[in-house]
Amino acid sequence: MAVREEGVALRPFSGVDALERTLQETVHLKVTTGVTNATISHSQAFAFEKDELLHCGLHIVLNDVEKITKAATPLVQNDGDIDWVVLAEDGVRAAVRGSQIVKTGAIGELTAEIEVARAEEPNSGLVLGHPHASRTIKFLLVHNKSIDTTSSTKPRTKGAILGAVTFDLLIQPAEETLQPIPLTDELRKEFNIDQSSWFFFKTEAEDMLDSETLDGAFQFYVDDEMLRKYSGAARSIRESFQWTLFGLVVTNLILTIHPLLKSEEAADIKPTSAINRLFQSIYSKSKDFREKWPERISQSPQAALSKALASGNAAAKIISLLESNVEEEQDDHE
Amino acid sequence: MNEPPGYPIITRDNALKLGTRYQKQVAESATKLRKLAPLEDEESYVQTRVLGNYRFDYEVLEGIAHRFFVDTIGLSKMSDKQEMFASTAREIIDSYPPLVVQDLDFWRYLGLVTFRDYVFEINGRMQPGDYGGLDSQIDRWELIEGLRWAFRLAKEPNDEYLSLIREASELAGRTSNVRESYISNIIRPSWAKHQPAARAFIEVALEGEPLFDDFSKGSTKLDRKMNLFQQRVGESQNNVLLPYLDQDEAAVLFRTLK
Repeated sequence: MAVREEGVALRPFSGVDALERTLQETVHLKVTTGVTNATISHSQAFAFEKDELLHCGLHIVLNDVEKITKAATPLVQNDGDIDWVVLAEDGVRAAVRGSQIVKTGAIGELTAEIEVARAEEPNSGLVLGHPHASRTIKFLLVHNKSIDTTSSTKPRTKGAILGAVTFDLLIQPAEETLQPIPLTDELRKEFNIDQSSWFFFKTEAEDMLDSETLDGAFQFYVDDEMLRKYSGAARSIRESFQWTLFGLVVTNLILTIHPLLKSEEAADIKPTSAINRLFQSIYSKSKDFREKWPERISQSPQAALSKALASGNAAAKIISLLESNVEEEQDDHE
Repeated sequence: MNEPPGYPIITRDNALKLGTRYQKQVAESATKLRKLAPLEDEESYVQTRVLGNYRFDYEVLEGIAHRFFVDTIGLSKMSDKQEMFASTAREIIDSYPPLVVQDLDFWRYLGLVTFRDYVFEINGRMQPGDYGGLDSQIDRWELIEGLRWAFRLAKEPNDEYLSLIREASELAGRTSNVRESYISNIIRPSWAKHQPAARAFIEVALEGEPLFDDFSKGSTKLDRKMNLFQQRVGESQNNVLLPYLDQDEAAVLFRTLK
């Protein structure tokens, strides 16, 4: 059962744990695109090319309707007190950022497959009818009426959530790289930083963990003249510069994220967030750090930074850069 | 409609370039500018996004924009213009499909071309965060603020929910902080994307002894009574599926939280 930070149980109804387990085991989302079929489970994500998202087929698949019904009905006073709902919610890059009840019905009418969207046809509705942002599909069982009850462990309010499973539909990020933005004198003035500053890391805490794009999570600026000269520099110099920038970005990221990880929002970092993807990529060689990076950064930002800067073959690459000779650089110039 | 398929957009990169040129115009002006002079090559920054066979009706947009600029002539208070833009955003939502309305690049086009004068007038500048030159803090772009204000509260026949907080505030002799109340209680909270819940919140917050926010200097979080109520409503979405409730049902739930 989900528990709030202060220790209060969410959905505190007797039997809710068993129901949520049953839903997680038996309810899946079948995704159909022009080129692939896939089935994903609770809290998993499927990434689309942007064009595919508008035309994909989506079906909620219930492997054992009877088992779900049996797990759900003990929670309520009457068997008919439960409805199922399929809800679609916009990701953060949708302009409206709305929600859409796609389908709903009584639990007695549950079938083994619920069509959410038909493949090959343009999907419709406020959330499904556009390809501009990721979205979450939720299948929920809810109490369908408000009743008087003396039991504190039975739902009494219409809309009370008995159980839910969620699936994330993502847009495959286009070639996502850490691209510095030119830092001009005007921007230095705007950021209120010294005119000799050659680097600035800018972020808004409230967006950082949530954003689905890297430049929505943070922007890093590098002196415009440095960036102009970078393209004409020798390869080994360019690589050294890249390492310097990478080190600065990772250091700033970890310093900024460390305090945020103690907030309530951090408990629910979405797989769709760009920061999640970035740290999974940085820690790709370490299963432990890749899967538990928020915990590891929270425990020891210094150790997490050390681990991040050791990613890939960092030591070998740095040594090879130190060994590179002048002739090589001159060759590169030509 | 004889337009070719597609609808107008400005990409993030082009928006930043175009917006920076407008901001330069502001910075280089010896006097305080009242309006920006349109750039001659503005059209070169605009692209057309083609999705299926959808054809954009430009005349409808021109009509909506014309009405907005005529209706705001003579309005001196910025908050009145912002409220008026929320009504205009509702017209845009009603006139075009989600394919267009949900596209941030379409709103960059509106912010830098169709409603550029409005964005500039409200902010007195053209910074990236005002029109969408960056992808961050989307709900602070001037037009997105109006869009979400409209989407969450507008309701036929007379869109009364768009202005209820202001009207109640004026009745109580409070004239400031109205816009901040809309932003922090309706535009930003994620639970308020469920329209009946957003309207029910306003209804319950203002009935009986109305709750208002005090953002003035020296005030504390405890002085933002509407905002404290909003936070309780936000917590309720962990246990209750708000989009499953109609406005009356949501209001019943929220009264127990007030």
